Amino acid sequence: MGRDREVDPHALSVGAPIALVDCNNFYASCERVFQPRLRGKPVVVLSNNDGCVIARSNEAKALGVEMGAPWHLSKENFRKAGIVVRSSNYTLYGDMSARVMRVLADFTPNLEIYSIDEAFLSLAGFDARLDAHARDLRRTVQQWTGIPVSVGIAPTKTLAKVANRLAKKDAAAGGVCLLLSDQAQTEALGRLELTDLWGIAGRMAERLRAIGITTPLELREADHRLVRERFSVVMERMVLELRGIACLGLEEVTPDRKSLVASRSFGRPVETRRELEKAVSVYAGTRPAKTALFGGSIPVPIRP
Amino acid sequence: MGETAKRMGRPPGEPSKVVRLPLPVAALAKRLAERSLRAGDINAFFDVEPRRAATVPLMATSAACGFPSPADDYLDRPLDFNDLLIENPSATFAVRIAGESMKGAGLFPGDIAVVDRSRTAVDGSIVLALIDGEFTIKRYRKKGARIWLQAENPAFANIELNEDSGFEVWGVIAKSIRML
Repeated sequence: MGRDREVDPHALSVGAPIALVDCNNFYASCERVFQPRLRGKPVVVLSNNDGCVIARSNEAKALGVEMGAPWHLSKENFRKAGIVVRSSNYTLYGDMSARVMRVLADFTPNLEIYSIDEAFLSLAGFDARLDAHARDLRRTVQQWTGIPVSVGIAPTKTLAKVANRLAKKDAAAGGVCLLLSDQAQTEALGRLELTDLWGIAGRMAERLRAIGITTPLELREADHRLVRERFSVVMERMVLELRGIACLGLEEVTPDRKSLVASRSFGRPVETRRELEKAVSVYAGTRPAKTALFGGSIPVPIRP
Repeated sequence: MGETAKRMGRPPGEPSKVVRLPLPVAALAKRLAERSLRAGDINAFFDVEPRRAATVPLMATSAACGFPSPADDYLDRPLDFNDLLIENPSATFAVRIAGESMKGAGLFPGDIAVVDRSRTAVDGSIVLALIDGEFTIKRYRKKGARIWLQAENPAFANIELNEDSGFEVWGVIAKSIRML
């Protein structure tokens, strides 16, 4: 399968460069701003009832701490490994996020706040000095707010995500990665799995594999019309975005936020169904606002 | 749970990867309604204008520790304490003073120091510094290659700094609020 010659020549000329700025280990970094002694130490942040791990510093990741690890089961291991544990402080994280976003707004005419710790920036007009601009942005956020960020720049959002991933992974990149040339994009995509791509979960990857698309590069080379027929227009856009053709403008994409997950752990073993039902219904009853927001149906997954 | 996670399009992984949205739900719902946002829109999380717009009238004359003449036109323009105290909101933090080492500079225990991280420390700046991971407020002194921290209280010695001091300027004290 060759790349689509009708579309390809336009790939680099379509659309202005887009940056994805992502705060590194955001909650753990927020804690470190005000507790400098935590620098260089493994730090985890727990969910708001100290239920499970929701953020890990690089040092904690290196020690193999899993996202979502239940606190009551990990307590002893963390203590032995010298991992510093913090309860979450969402007021603080919200405040720090707002500061970071305000600084970012000084570096672009068009900012899309994508999540509490990520934003897309249009860098139209900065083409001649993208690298310097990105490094200046990164230094300013670090100095003003104390939060380290990574910057990925590419012609499309999907490739900017890839660039950001590399900016984080590759220590030599200094927190900034540009994927502007076809060669750089090809090289970067060659290092990834399908599920590393923005918006491709395990199930979609399985479906792609079933028709012989097993890597990001193969997906980029696929016939986009065929992909639309077999999957959806969303996947077709993914193919085009991987080719450097911007299909997703700023503020257009919204991640799947139709679901809200609240998890609670029991303080002691719950052994009967009746007891479990009672606990769940009491909890759900205390959250009418949540129920109203999401139209009434709440799936309750339970695991030991 | 694993199947549910897949259907919802989350990244693949172990079923224990429970993700939590850090949102106070009642406040979120209220903001969603106020701003006609879709459920789950992250923008609801931010207080776009967290600062309160309270202002107080500003006397146009300076008071020499006496009572200003009632005849003075007191309104130059209303004084907004936020404007007065905060130059760069993104980079401004507040910290309460502990200890008496900076009394001579007018910083007393219980006062609030306004710290601006976007300012660069120069010789003579009062800084919130880090020494081996501990915060301290001192006057930053720099003459050539020599850098030291100076207390504004004769009971405290200067702190000479070298490469091994684990020293860093966290921010420059731009203002202080004196608690009487």
